[in-house]
Amino acid sequence: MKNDQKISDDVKKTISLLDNIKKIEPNPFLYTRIKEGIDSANNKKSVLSIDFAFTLFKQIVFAVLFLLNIYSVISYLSNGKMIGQYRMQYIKNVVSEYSIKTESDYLTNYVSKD
Amino acid sequence: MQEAELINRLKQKDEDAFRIIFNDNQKKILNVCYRLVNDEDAAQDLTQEVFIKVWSSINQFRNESKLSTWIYRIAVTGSLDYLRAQKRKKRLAVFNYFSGGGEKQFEIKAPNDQDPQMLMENAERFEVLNDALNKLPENQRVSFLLSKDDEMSAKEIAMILSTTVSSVESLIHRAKKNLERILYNYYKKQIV
Repeated sequence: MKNDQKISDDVKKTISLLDNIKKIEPNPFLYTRIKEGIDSANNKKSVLSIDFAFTLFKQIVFAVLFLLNIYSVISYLSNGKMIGQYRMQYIKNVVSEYSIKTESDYLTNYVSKD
Repeated sequence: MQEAELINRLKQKDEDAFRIIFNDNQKKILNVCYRLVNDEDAAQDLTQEVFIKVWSSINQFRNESKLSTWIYRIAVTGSLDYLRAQKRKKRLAVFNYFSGGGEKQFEIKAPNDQDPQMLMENAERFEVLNDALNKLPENQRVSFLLSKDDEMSAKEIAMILSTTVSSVESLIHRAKKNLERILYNYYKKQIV
């Protein structure tokens, strides 16, 4: 019983410490430190925005180069096809102009293959 | 100056408005941080971070609460993040010890305006209290510690924690009961 009372007293005393926590005073240079913090954050932001712009520029250049490459490949392939078609047309014209009708003729076979 | 006008001026990055808001709130914010982290230097640093955030994030303030409540919310969140980081550091302390490093650990300080014997006794009690508080769930601990601030009502705590007044009252009640239970068990072990 005596022990219980002592424990209860200790508990009360310990919890009551929270009621006596002293109020602390702000550091007199707190505002100056905050201003410095804001300024350095702003500087960081502008450096970051330059970095961001440069990164964005690099990505755009890369994308443009990539698209140009794709366009070159496509146009090369389609040009090759076109050249083939022009050649075929030319051969057909030559064949019809000179009335080449031999079955074993290389040109005719070449045309008929396509 | 009306609060709405102050907020508008702050949104336009007006330093005078910021200074007014700082002067009105700095002491309260510092003491809220101090109450939660129990370290004066850390509380000063946290207060600095809070006001930098107020300046940089004022455009995110939606006028759904008072400006001071919004600032308190930033302070509470910052303090809890700090405590979580300290806990992580504490877990790694054993590795730091073996590697010869180690940083200053979080410790509660007793008021130093008393006689040495009382000071020692209180320092021990503070340590016990700190351990007991750390065993409480975070929302109970925060509600309970904020309720110990004379200037903060349950309604204000509810707004800071984005909850209801009845919920805050219940959290405070449960925190007190749990704290008493933890301390009771601790002192009982000491006697046996």
